[in-house]
Amino acid sequence: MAFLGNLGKKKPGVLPYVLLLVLAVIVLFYIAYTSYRQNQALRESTELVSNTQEVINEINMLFANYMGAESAGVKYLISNDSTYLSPIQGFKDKSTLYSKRLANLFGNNAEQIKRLELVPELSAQLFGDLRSFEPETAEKFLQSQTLRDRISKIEGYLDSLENIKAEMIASEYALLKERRQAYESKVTLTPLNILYSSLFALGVLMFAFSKINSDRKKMGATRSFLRNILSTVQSTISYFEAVRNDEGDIVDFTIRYTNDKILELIGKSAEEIEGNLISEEYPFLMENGDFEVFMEVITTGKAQEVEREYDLPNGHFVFCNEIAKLHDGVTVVAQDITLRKEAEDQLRQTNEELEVQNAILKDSEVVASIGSYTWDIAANTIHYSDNLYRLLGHEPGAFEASYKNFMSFVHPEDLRRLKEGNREIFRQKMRSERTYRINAKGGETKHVQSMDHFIKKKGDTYMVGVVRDITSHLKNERELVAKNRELQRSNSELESFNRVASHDLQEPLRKIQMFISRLYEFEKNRLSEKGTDYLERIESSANRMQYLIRNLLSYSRVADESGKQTKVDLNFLLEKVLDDLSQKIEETGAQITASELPVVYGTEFQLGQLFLNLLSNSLKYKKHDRAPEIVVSSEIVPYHKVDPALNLPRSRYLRLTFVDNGIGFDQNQSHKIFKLFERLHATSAFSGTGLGLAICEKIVENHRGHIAAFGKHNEGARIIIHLPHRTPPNP
Amino acid sequence: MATNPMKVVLVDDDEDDRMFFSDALREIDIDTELRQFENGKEFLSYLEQEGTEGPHLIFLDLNMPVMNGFECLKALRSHPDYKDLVVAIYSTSSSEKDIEETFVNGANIYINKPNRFDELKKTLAQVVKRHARYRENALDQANFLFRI
Repeated sequence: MAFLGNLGKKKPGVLPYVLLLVLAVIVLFYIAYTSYRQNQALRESTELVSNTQEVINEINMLFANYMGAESAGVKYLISNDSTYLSPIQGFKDKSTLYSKRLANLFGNNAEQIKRLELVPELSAQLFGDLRSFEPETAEKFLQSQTLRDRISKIEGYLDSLENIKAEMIASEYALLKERRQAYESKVTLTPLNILYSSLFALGVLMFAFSKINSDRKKMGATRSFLRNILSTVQSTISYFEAVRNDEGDIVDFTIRYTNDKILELIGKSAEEIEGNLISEEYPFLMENGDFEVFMEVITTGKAQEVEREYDLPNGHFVFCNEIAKLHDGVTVVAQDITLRKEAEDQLRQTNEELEVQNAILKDSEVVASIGSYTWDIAANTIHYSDNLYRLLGHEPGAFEASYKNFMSFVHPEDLRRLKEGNREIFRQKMRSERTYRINAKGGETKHVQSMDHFIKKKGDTYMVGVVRDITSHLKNERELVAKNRELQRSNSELESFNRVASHDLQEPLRKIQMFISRLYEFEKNRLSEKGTDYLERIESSANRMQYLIRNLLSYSRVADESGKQTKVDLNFLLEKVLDDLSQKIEETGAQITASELPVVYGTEFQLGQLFLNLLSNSLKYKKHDRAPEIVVSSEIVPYHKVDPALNLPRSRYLRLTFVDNGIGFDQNQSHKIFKLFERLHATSAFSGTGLGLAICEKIVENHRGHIAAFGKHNEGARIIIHLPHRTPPNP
Repeated sequence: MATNPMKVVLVDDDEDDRMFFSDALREIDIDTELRQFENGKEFLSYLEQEGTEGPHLIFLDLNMPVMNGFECLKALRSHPDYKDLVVAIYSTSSSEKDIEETFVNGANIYINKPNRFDELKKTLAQVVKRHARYRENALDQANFLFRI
């Protein structure tokens, strides 16, 4: 993956290699051209050289005739053999022929032609002299001066001819040399140079080719790497190409590329939308400002980052878009930051809440007389909360927070115990709860309770704790214990009163009643009318007293025993109570209607007493001319529907309502009717002890409820009871 | 029946109550023989002295000096010879606690002392007559349990 090193970095580019290639091609062309040229010149030169050789050959042939003829003449002269003379004519013919041919070969070489023109004359003289030899004269000839002269004359001709020949050949050689020079001047490159150049060009070619090839391979790898990235990246990457109108203004964009991520957003694959216009596929881009951003990026060439929300077919998203210019278009990298955004929002909210909570915590420390500390054990730094300073009688930050400084406040008698305890909890890193005294600034001794434990945060151990001022708490507790003791005492007194009331008071009363009944039985006929009346009054008083005692007893019993709470079916309870009251109901002709009542948790005998007392009240305080009508109803209400002034605990409540059409009472008396022995009506008119409703109130209070009476004089009474309602679990 | 009167015992410290009781019992048309004791201890020592068979029906007051009704009841029930005797508690107390405790300790009947003589008579007649029926039919006395 070495090629990745280059990815995204500035690359040297392909241009140098192309230049190298071009250079190599030029070199090769040059070599080919020059080679051709040199080849051509070589051929020409070779032709010329062979021409020269031929000319020289012809010259030699021509002049060989003269030599042959002379030597024949000379031989004749010497040998006097006339047969030597005969070939001379042949030499002469041949020389004419060669001379003509040579003239042809010379062409337009004026110099040589000029020399050739000298030849015929000399040749004619030579042959003329040679022909003048006669066989008879040969002998004479040898002796004659004339002959010698003639031979020397012939030799003279021959020398001249030889000279011409030499000149001619020299001229031809000069010409040959000249031509070679001309040829060599044309050969600019030697074969070795050509070889080197070719090899160089080939080398360049191969280098450039291998470079380009490796680049191609790298490009391929890079491309597949890019493709890989594009398909796996979590962002949506698109390339939009600008669509311009005739004026050159951008009117739309064509989706040229988008990665597969788009499928998750709009439910369409990349292939489906590629090539389409953004105004068709993403019409919202034209309106939400993105289009303008694209144009700006293209105009300025500066990349932009935009956060925006989108409602796409597959949901609501928040994207962070990075838009950069590429050619005549933009690349858009859209990162889905929906979750991050939500997390950020949540974090911000949590932070705000935390701030509020912190503020509350600070206040609550003050209110609850609590101080706290955090002890970074590794760094040995302690942080006291503001209120811990206040607890010690100082202003926040008045002294350095340290273990030693804190211990200096501890009461000397508790110091050792606390230090030993600290060693122990440090060793075991355990949670602890201790109570000790501190001497706050100003000498005030406070009782505090500290709760300490260890927490680990990023590998460091912290000891954190809360110190609570429990001075007043302890004081209250002590008072409470004293009060409790007092209460227990008064309770046991009450118990003994109960005993007295139930037994000792009833005992003599019962006997009085017993004796009255005996007296009445025995003396009925002997008593005067007045005596009978008195006896009846005594009995009535005794009965009333007994009734009073029983009610008082039942009141104190209700007050004393909360009783066992069980499931009580109020319908069943009501039935039982109505059964107990059946005689009275019959006597008064009362109409009692009740709706369906719920099952509640409560003390059965107390709830029975409650129903009994309320119903017998209604039966008792009836209008003299009307039969009682009593309606019992119930409903379940939430706590806020109950009178808020009662300050009842939050719960659901069962509201029981008893409405009658009796004599009622004045509303302003309503608070009095629940008091012990309080009676609103004259004794003679209505029998009663003034305990019935007091008992009711006690029972309702025992059940953590509330009872209220509403009435109007002569218009009946309405008793409303609220009892906390919890649904008994199904059996 | 006439040949074998029902032996009834009343243990009560109150003289007036004993008087009312004996008057009422006498007025019932069943042949009974009443013995009276002032407290539990007296009654127990009588049982031991005599050595004879126990009474048929015992009426026991609860609140008494020396030995109260609860103690007496427990003593009777823990004694093998007396544990089957029929005991009716005869008390002023109408406390549920007392009633429950005496039944748990083996009382057969609980009677609240009435405050009218005719009521007392009626109650005693009810108890005595019912007991007589049990005796005749030799029913299991343990099932003889009620409250008046």
